[in-house]
Amino acid sequence: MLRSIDHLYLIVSTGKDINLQEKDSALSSVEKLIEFPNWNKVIDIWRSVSKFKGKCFPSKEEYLEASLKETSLKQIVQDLWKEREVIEVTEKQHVDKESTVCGGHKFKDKRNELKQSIMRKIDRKSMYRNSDQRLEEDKVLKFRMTCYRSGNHCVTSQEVACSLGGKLQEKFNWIVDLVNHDLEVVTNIREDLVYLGISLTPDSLHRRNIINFGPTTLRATVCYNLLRLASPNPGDIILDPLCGGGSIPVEGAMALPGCYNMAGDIHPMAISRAFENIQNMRCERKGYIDLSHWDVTNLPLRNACVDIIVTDLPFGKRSGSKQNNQNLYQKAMLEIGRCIVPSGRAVCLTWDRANLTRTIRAYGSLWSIVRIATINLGGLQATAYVLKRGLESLDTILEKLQKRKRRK
Amino acid sequence: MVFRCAVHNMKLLTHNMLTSKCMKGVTVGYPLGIVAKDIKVSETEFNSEFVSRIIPKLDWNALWKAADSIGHSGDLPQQLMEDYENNEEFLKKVHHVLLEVEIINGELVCPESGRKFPISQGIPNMLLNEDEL
Repeated sequence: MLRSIDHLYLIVSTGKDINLQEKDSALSSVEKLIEFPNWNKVIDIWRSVSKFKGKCFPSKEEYLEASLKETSLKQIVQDLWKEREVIEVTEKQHVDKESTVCGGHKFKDKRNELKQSIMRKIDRKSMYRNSDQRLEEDKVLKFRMTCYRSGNHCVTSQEVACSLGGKLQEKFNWIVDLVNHDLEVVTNIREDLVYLGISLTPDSLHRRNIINFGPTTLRATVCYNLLRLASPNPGDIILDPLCGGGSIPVEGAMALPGCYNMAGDIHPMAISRAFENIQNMRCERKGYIDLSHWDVTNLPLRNACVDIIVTDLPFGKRSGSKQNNQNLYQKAMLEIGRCIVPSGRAVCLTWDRANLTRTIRAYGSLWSIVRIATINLGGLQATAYVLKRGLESLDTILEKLQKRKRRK
Repeated sequence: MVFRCAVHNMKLLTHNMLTSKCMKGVTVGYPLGIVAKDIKVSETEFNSEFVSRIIPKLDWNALWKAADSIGHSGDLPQQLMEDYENNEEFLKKVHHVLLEVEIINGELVCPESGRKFPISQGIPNMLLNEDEL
């Protein structure tokens, strides 16, 4: 179950029916949430999870000393970074020349960009850590206050974060650091409900499997939930015929006990990404995975040989186009209908609902819709269709469709 | 700690599902012949539930022929016995053939047209050319 969530928070206090329509009273009512009596207990729990060894409730003097130290550390890192940037710029010019010579692919650039930005963050953090020679016990807790807000209010999330963050800082003498913090305190405001929590997960858990990101990589948490929608059992063969970077089958192999995940794609770049992601899977996986290079519109698979299909159909926006989609969906849904066992479950994620529903209807009794779930993927409203393959053989179904056409 | 596992390659379970029927002019296209240049025998944790549930989904004959053609059938029986679910020794043999014998490089061969599908880095390339569709 825990594989389906991105973040875990320990709730400190909640407030219901808080009036957030008047600025002054809004901020002071939210600030009251901090007057929670059991901070010691909460911080203890956080300490045991995060293994933080420094001072959680420092005195004013300890805070001031630590603040000065932070400023000087930041300066050291800044200087080190400037040196490194000079080297990077000359390297990048060299790489740019190379990629135009090889007919540089758009996907490759975006992938490298994202990889680089992640590497830069890691490098900066490690520079900071290496320059800090203090004992763990001498350090003072650094925190960040983040506010998430949805609904109509007279305050912005930044205003709340600033005001609450300031109050916490005064109360506990913690150091504010938005980037290199030890503790993240989160305020979540939904309409009238407000809660204050402590983050127990330093990084979103959704990036756990993939090291090689592509243009449309799905979060591992979304993949897990898609797989769950198909109700897999041990001994099931799960197919993803449009696997891209392999996010779904990799999550399947890691999380579902005793399932055989077959992945495949047509794009050579997708295959090399999937290959890398598979080779980097950790040892404690529960299932199996195999990768093939194929065309979903003409699958080299026997009839009725897989139990489950879970796939992320190309979205019109990021890969492929709406025109291509109609043709692709028609052929793909027919092929996977051929390869799946009668009554088998298929979970198809798509943004192009019209095309998919049209295709499903056009194939008569081949597919029936069991369930529809909407997912928000980075701003795009995507839909997961849980389909059940009909009982009849493909030939029978196609014959019936032909008869229907002839009658018309 | 992150342990990098042994590299993953094509398993005989996958081979059991693959066919060249998608090619123009091919009527059956199954089972595909195997020409193996590099084979790897690895060790994976035995899961008896998985093996006993997967056996009814296999074409047993094709599995045996495939394992035999690359010299790794061991003492796997050519005929599938009854009541295999409780025969752990038998299940372990099946587990070995299905999951522990991996093909790194080689070819899959269509039994009707002779067309070769290359396998490299453990990935079979089943893409067809324009004229084969």
